[in-house]
Amino acid sequence: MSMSNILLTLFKLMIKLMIKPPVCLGLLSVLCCPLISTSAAAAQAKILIVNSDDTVNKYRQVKEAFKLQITPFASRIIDFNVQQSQQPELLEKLIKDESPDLIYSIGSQAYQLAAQYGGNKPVLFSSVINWQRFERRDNSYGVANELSLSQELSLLRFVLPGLNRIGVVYDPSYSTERITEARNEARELGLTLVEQTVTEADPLDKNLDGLLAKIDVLWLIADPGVLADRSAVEKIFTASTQQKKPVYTYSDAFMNYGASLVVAADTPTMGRQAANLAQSILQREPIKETVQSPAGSHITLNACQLGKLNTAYNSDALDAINQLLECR
Amino acid sequence: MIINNPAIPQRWRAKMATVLIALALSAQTSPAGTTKTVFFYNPESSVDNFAALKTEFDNYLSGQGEYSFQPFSERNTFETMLTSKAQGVYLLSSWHYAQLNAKTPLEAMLVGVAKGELQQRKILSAKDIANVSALPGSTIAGAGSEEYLRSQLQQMLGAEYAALLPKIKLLSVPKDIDALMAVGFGMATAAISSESSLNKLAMINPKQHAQLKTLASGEKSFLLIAAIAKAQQAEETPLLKVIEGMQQQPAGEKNLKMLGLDGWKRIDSLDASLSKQLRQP
Repeated sequence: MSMSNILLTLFKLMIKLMIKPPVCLGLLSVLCCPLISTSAAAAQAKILIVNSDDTVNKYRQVKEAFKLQITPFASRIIDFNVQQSQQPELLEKLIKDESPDLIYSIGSQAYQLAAQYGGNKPVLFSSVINWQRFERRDNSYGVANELSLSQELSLLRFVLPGLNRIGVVYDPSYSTERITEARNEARELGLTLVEQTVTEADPLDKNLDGLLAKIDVLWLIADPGVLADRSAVEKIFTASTQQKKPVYTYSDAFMNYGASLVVAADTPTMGRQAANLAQSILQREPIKETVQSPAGSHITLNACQLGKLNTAYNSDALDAINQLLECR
Repeated sequence: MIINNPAIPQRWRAKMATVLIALALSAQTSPAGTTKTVFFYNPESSVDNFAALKTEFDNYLSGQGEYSFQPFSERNTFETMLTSKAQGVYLLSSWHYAQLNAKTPLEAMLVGVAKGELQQRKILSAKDIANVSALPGSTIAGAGSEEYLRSQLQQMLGAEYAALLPKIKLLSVPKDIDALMAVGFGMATAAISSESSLNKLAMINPKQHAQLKTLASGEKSFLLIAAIAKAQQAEETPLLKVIEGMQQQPAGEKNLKMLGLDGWKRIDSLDASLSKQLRQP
């Protein structure tokens, strides 16, 4: 039954109950008020976008995608560029003067400032590396910058389906929970996760060759305990190449070292996702996950490197690949 | 493409695109240049792979003759180019072809084939809701432009549920598999994808696949179309032959896979019932 039908039925019922028509209309308008105000909330919303640095391409992309999606639902969008303003405290004044309905922060610096000066305003974030390191309040929402390890494993299986023994090196002080999640997901996918921890007593050099001998592919996750410096990264890639094992990882920054496959979050999708989340916040819809994983992926396949390692890829996945590196 | 540079304001892009197209076309028609171009635009995918497509197709086509490849990320730019100079071969989705044909007369010559199929069906899958009446307030993920996704959803929901459309949020993701996994991992309530992508999910993540149920499905539509301007049939025949022959060479076959195809079939070799659908304006 549509809303108009419900209202008509209620109106008829009130007339039957001998309530005068003007009173009926008054009562109905009171009843409808919350419904109208909720649906119109997003359309009237004033949104403040705080960008850490507008000159960073990824930040600009995410902001543009957000704006494109949210514009039909916002009455006004205000931009604040932290890097350009040089005076972050100006943000405090802007928030007081404008009183936005929602603050969307792009990047870690913007998020910290928005959380500091935002008061009780809902703060939405994206492009924040490792968001878990920041304290979060009840009115804080976001789109993570990194795909979940479960997503990464599924996409590995999509592009390189023949590789079932996945080696992963991690520091238990940083990645225990994520590895537990990945272990369960690997089991669901019929993959074997071969784990190697790195600690002060058990450094990377000691066990890397032994691990590589047991696996089909090395999965390099974002673990600061493992990727401590450039030398650690070089050691991993040199050993992997020597043992002819492809490296699967999360950032194009590793392509120069010889990564075979990189799967990262798609930047414009994060902006669109943040816009949908903003709409839900403004319309006071129930939100299941206050911080969502990115929904879109960006895949770089180094077909040249895989060829050198005699490793086949799924050619039916080629229409999902963003960047394809061939030997020239 | 330079016109996609986020530093350039949106309002200037269409103007810049028009100027760039005019310059590109004038270069192509210069007395010394006889290069023929394959133009590509697909609103059914949002994978930003234009640089890879350009590199791989240019490499392949330049080995076959004086041919080049030009992918487009924006519909308006593609259509402006088409109306400015209807020459070359156009690779476009059958959904777009049907719309475009009313404005610019095109003739479909080849239709894409994937896993032996010429057509696909889009379906709406969900995990936690039982039927479409529970969709209001939800997010539906899908690959392609928002306009395309909304039209697919409209077709699937039909007149009975048309009133639900404005209450649904669409999330455009790069590819079908992202949309399906967004449901599995909880970023969306439902996904619009092709049946073949659902089959891919069954191979990658059988558990997620088993959790999905089909809420609605659309009508079958053709895969990618290779078309030419109606007046240009004889002139474009050599380039069409090169495109048709791609599946016979490993490099060509790989490039077709980048478009999600295994090969091409001539429209005039199809059953009359099928070819009629593509011949109608």
